[in-house]
Parts: sequence; C-alpha cells; structure tokens
Amino acid sequence: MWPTSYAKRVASDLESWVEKGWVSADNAPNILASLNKEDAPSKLPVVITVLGAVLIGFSAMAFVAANWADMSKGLRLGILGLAMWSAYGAAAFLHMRNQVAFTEAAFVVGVALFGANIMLIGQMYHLPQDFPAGLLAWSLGGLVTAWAVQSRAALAATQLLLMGWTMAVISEGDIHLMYLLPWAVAALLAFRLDWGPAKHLALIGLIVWLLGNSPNLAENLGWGPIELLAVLSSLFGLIWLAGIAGEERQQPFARALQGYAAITLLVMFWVGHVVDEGFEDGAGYLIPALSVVALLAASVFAFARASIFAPQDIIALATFPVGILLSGALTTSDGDVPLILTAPLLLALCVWLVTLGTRLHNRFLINLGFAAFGGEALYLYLETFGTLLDTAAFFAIGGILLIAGGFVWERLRRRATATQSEATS
Amino acid sequence: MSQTRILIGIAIAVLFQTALLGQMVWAQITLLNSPTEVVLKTTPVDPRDIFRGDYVILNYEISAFDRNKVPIADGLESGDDAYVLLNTQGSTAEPLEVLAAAPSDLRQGQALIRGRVNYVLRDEMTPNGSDCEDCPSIFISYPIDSYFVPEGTGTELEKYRDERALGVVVALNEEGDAAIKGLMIEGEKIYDEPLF
Repeated sequence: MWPTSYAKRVASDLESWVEKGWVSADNAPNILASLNKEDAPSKLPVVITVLGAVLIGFSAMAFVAANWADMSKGLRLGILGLAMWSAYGAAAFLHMRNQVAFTEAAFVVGVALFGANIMLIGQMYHLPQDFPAGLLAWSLGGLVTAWAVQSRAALAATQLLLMGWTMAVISEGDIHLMYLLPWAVAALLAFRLDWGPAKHLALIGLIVWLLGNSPNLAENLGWGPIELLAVLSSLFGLIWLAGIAGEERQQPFARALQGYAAITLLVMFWVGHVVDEGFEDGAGYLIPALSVVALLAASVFAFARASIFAPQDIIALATFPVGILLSGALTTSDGDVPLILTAPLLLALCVWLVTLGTRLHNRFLINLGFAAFGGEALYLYLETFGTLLDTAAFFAIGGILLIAGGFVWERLRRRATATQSEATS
Repeated sequence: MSQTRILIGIAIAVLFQTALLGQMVWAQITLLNSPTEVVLKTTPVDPRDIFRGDYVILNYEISAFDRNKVPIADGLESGDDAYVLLNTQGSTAEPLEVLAAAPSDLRQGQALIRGRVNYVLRDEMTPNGSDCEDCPSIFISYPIDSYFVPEGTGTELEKYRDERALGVVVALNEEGDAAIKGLMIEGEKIYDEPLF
C-alpha cells in the first residue's frame, strides 16, 4: 500500500494535470487505482527476516561465550561448524525455491556463524584478544561469500565488519592503509549489484576510514585538532563540490555525496568551534591555508562550469575551514573559545544550507540545515544561559522555549519544504 | 544468478570459510604438539569478554624486567617484537636475557618465547614523567595472556593472585611462538588442555 499522504498528493496533482491536458481524464482513475493496489512488494518481511538472522548470529556468539565445559572442544566446534554449513545448505535450498529474502537471511546467518566459529577457536585455544585479526578474518569470509553468491545482505554485513576492522586497527594508533583494498572490492560489488544501501555503506566506510585515520596522521605531522579539522573541512568541501557537479550531470549518487559531506562539515565545524585548543606549537597555517586556497579555486571553477552553483556557495564552503582556523587563532591560552564570533558563523552556514537545499530542490539539505540550526541554538542556550539560572527555572524556561521554538521551527521547515515541493511539481 | 552458479558460489564460500577455520585450528594444534614445554609463573585477574565469555588475564613474571637484573638488548622500542631467552632447567622457567632477534640456535635447557614490547622506561622515568627508581625497565606482553574458563569460575583462579602459586604450562616452538597447554597450582597440574 502506498503511503496515504503520497496518494492524496497524487490525487490532488492529477486534477491539475487533467485540467492542463497532461493526463487524459480516462487514465486518471487508473493511476489512482494503481496507488491503492497492494502489488508493490513490501520490504518489511525482508528486513524482519534479516534482523532475525542477525539475532541468530548473536545467539551463536552467546553460545560461544557460555563456554560449556561439559562439551569437548571437538563437539563444540562440530556444532557450530555444522550450523554454519547448514546455513549455507539452507541458503541453497531456499534459493532453488525462489525464496529471495530467506536466502539472504541464510547467508547472513552463515557469515555470522563463521564469525562465531572464529571466536570459538580463539576461546578454545586461549588466543589473546586480537580484535583486528579476528575482524579481518571474519570480513574476508564475508567478502568471499558476498562475491561468490552475489548476496546483498552478506555484502552489507561485510562492509560493517570492515569498518569495525579498520577502527580496531586505528584505535591501536596505526595509520591503516590496508583497509582500502577490501573496501574497494566491497565497493565494486556494491556497484555491480547496483544496490543503493551498499553504495551508501561504501561511502560511509570511506568517510569513517578517512576521519578515523586523521588523528593518527595529524599526530605524525605534529598537527593539533584545529589544523586537522581545517584541512579535513577543505577536503569535504571539495567532496561537496564533486557532488554538486555530479548532480548537474544527473549522476545518481551525487546527492548522497552532498548529504554526507554536509553532515561531516557541520560536525567538524561544531567540534572546531567548541574545542578549547588553539594552534599547536610549531604547527603553521601554511597547509590549512593551502587547503582553503585549493577549495576556493575549485569553487570558482565549479561556479564557472556549473549553472546551479552560486557565488554565495563559494563563500559558504570556504567559511567552514576558515571559521575553524579563526576559532583556533582566537582561542586564548586559558582555553576560552571565541563563540561570540564562530557561533553566528555556524548559524549563518545553517541558513545557507537551507537556501542551498531550496535552490537544489534537496529536501535532505533543508532538513539538515534546520536541524543543525536548532541544535546549535540549543547548545548556545545551554552554554550561555544555563549557568545563570537555578536548576528548576532552567528546565522550566528551557522547556517552554523549546516547545515554542520547536512549534515555530516546524512551521518554518514545512513552509520551506512545501515551497521546494511546489518547485519540483 | 542461475542455480548452478549459486551452488558453485555457496561451495566456494563454505570451502573458503572452512579452510580459514581449519588453518586456525591446525596452527594451534601444531604449536601445542611442540616438544618444548615450560612453566611460567603468573598471577590471574578475572574479567569477561562479551563475545567469548569469562577468562582470566595472566600477568606473567616475565612481563616486566629490570635491566639491572636481566640483560636487555639495546634499541628495543614500543611495538617491537622481543625474544626472551628462558632457562628451563628449574621447576619454572627463569628469564636469562631479552633479545631483539631470535638466536640462531638454543642450548640444552634453554627455550625462547616471543612477545611484544609494550613500553620501555628510560632514565628511571615512568611514562607520565615521574621518577621511579625501582620500576622495571621494559614491559612485554605475550600472546598467551588470556585463559578462558567456564562461566563464573574465573574468581576461583583469581584467589591464587596473592599466593603466586599459579603456573601456566606453555608449549613453545623454535620461533618463540607460544600456546597454553594447561595450568598448575603449587606444582600440580589442575587443567590439562585437550587438543580437541
């Protein structure tokens, strides 16, 4: 069943389309009738089935953790090994019966039981807790399965495991370049299967890797958080530009690129304007400044080439790294951050995001801009007024302000998204 | 995908995963079958791993060395492999020397265990910069620092923490790789790990 709101909107639009002669009066009832048909396959059973498979995987891990002393090592390994083979056997059987969702769930169970077996062997032979090695072995098993049977669910599980692997390596203080190899193999399969969620996971995996490695890289380079955030902001500004350019060429993943870049930039700016550290001794402005210049040059180039790009976008994109650098430069040795300057900058960037989303007909950017504005306003409220009131008054006034603010904000947000919807219709 | 292709794919996945698991088991069994066996003194601490259950962390006496008592190779840094030469002629193995590389051959009554340098103290300073005249000079961890036990039994082993009566029977190969074969309390074997 289509969502009621969608059906209502199409019904109202149809009247206007019939009047304009775009849709014949004879076809309009057929279009409406198709909306109410239940022939569109629901994805809910697939989701529920795969979640069930994940639970079975956790159950196997708990079985391992229980360490049944009454059972010999061989028997324990035999049970989990047999369960793993059975899962793949079940997948083969279900595939032959065209049970796509259950086949995918069986593959997830197979990959999960493979991981449980790795843990079991570690437990049986008292191997040390080596998360990176264990996660790598598990990921490789998942990756081979995903490629061999072209399974979407196994691919998604593998992408998550790979992210866990790289974070485990990074948490030991290493710069982890090896991640890129299995990541690329998984990303290739995501595009081969042409499956949106796996493409998103590939992009998220790359961002996680990039952000995860950057503190270790910064430490090696002698950079502090400000220099690092400024350079990363320039980099994500470039990624955003690539997304905008891709959208003009109607490339399918361009919007996702913009969305992830926007989220990352906002988070980095927020961190940059609250971190109570200035520039590290010995670190300079040179590389961050060069990164800003590169971003500005790319923005100007994009402005010249892409018609959907506006001059204020150049200023806004450069404001992300420049604002962070400004915050670092003005932070005092006592750790006092110049919120009075940088907070309005962040709020202005949120407003720009809403206007950009409206111009690009990108509802996600509009909502993100509103959410970030509200979040920053809340942060400023807590930072500036909270300490002046006693607890009761603080919460009471805060509650009233939030309810009122939320009401007004939601009205504004709806108005903006409605304007955007009208523009697209 | 055609049915033949998916069946071949499943066969590849199962074979790959089974081979990987088999290799892990085989490597441990080969190590446990090594003829070199030593007993290392240890103190246990009882924690829990959410995925693998209860275990005791084994703090070995050969985890920390004072360079005034045991010779330590120059140039060892955090993260390096370190090889500890052991005298195995007593009831428990005693450290002879900390080396940066495995020796080409071992004498009768000697064994080698490989660990990783956690950190090195220089000029009698702790990592946080405070003075420490009696602190060990180097800290080494080994891939045998976890002993998994049935749920709830870790505290039984932990009570030997202060008595220093717990020994771990360790199998070693010529490269210094180690695997736990069993536990001893006051010279008596209380756990003997079966291969299967």
